[in-house]
Amino acid sequence: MNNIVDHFSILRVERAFALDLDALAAAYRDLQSAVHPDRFANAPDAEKRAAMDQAVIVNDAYNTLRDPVKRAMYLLWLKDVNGMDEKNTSMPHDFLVEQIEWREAIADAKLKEDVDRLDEMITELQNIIDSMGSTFSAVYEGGHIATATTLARKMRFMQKLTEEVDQAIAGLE
Amino acid sequence: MALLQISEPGESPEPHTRRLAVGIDLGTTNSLVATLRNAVPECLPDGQGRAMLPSAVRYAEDEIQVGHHALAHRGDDALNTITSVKRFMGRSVADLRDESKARYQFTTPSGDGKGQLKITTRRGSVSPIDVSAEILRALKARAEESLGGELYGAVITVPAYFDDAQRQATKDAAQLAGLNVLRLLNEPTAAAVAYGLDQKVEGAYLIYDLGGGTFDVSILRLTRGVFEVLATAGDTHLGGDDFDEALAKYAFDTWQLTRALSPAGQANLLAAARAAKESLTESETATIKVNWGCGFDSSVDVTRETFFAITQPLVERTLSAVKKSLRDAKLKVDQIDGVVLVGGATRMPHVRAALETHFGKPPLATMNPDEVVALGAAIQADQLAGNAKPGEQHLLLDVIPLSLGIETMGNLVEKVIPRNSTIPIAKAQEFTTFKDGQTAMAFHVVQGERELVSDCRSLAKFELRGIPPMVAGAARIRVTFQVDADGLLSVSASEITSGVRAEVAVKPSYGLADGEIASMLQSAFTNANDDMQARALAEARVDAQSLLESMQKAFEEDRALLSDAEHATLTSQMGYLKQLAQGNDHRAIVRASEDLNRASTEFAGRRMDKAVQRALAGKTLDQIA
Repeated sequence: MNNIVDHFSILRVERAFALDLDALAAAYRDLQSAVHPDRFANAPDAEKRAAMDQAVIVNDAYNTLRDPVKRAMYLLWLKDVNGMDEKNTSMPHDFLVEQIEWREAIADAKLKEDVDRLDEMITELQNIIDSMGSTFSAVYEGGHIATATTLARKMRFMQKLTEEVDQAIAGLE
Repeated sequence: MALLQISEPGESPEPHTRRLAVGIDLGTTNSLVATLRNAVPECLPDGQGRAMLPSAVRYAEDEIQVGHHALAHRGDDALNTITSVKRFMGRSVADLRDESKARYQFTTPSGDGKGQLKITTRRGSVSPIDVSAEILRALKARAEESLGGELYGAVITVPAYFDDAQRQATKDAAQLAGLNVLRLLNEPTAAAVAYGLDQKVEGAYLIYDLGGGTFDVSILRLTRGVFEVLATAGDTHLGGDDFDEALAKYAFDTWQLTRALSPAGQANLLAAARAAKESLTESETATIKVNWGCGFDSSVDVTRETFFAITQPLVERTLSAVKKSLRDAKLKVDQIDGVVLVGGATRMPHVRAALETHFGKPPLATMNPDEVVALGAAIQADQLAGNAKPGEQHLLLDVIPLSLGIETMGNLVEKVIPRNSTIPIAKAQEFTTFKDGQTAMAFHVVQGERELVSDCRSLAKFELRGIPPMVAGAARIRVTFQVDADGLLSVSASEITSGVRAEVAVKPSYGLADGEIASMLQSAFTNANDDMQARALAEARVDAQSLLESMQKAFEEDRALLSDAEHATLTSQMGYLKQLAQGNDHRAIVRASEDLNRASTEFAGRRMDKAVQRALAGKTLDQIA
């Protein structure tokens, strides 16, 4: 699958989980500077449409690659694995227990209106996602796709928790 | 000697080819129009030197008044003098808050309280789109008089937190006013452009925009001429008006008035409260004084301390949005390089103090907070009109403020495009039938963050018909959402195995249908059918001319991308269009222009690929990664 135009080749970065995010952002800005519809405001309709299409493709690539969970899922997709498929694998028991504990902690902090605690949780969850990402990177590069898939799904669960904490904070503020 | 007039391709156009373009800040309380003169943005004042036009429209017996004249009658002709109309854009009677309901006589087209509301005046019922169009017409006239020519186009600003219905209503109002809308631009983004280019700064900036009726906060990263919005948050029902209302309520309660106020009394009290609020920016105390007529009057003294205390909850609400935007942008307060103040309401000292406490540094107020949005819009308008030199171009990468989704079973929302996604964007989602032999499927498009459909804003409903009968779950229905650079949504649905399609531009319940705008424009030109014809012909010719020039330029740059046969086909179509453009049949000109556009689609695609290659040319993988 090396010849398809994937998000990594669009943004001219190596196909890997470990990315230089500054370089990614710089490539994104360069590309949008060339194709954004604003650059073609006075162009014929055909060029406007082509610009719109390209800008959409570049945005899609950038939105996918800058987010660690989407990036992991996308790398798996390139290996024909749909990590988002709920039927895919069942999660380990201890991980699910941990999830329940997290949810209880969120509900508890929400009840106590403890925004500081919720803020801390976001940082903790972020750190967990980061460290899972490093492991994902090593496992994926080592060709252990099944293990990588489980990790990516765990990352997705953690990201969902982050979103929940986020909503809890927004509800309290 | 004219021999030295050699201009390189892409250099600044000749003065006579410069297009007149303006930026318009269509505000809740005041509106402004600005343009670029000698590369410097400036607001265009009225004949008396005033840049701000009060956003007030009065439907008088014999004329429609706009601005200061209208505002002067807010007390004595309250029901026919419309102010803060921006709060009603894209809104139904059911959306109104109780305070607003008392101000005018509202009606609703469908009778069920849904759909764009209308306001009953002595000159009949008017929609917020009509009222806004009056304000825009006044600004257009001011600009054309000041610049000495017809406007090529305008950038109109909207609150970043405006939803699709409010954006569509704004665009409709501009078109109704006869403006060519180059772009709807988010107000904080416009402010960031003006501020960033003026102060030549780079880094992460938070724009705090508290206007008359709306509040926005946007976080942008400024990098070498690229303005990238990282996150936006806000409240379209929070602004300086709310501070006035809080003060008015304080006075009302203090006086222990027993009766509800008449619309005129309400307008007088609000005006007095506003005056007191403004003077509290400079003084420690102010007096709210209202003359009720017939020799009655009431007054009360307010200290700055009291004012701050009763409005602190409003300031807290803005800080919640600030925190939300920081979380969405994944930034901490100390990673923000500066907080830029926008909107007249940011003059209030306790707003500034709250921001200074939160960020640990004073907010930036180097530019006039009333004008900065219009100035930024003017810069963008100039660029979109094609007046900017290539080296001086900047780029705005903006986001949608609210998630877009579709109703699924059980009143639930399935999000298709999450908030803060960079636009333009397109996303597809697949759905399937749930009954055997089902041949139609209804879609309900909503906007908002909540999980239940009833808690989100309904944008449109449409149906896909003609699905071939299959067993439940076998049909593959693909729904595509597309948001353009104006932040406007269009949705299409198709069944993949059969190719059946349905498409909607999302504007049924609030905006105007395209035909409606045309007929309203036509009625504005009553008895002037010849004018209409002449105008249509002139427009068709101008468009054809500009298309031909663009094609010619494309040939010069990229002839190599075309085979000889392709080149010959396009050349002959251009010749045909050129010939038609000399005639008087505007429909034929438009048709030939469309044909040429269609025929050059492939060529445009190749040129775009080349542009992409060029953008990254000379950079190897090592340098980038």
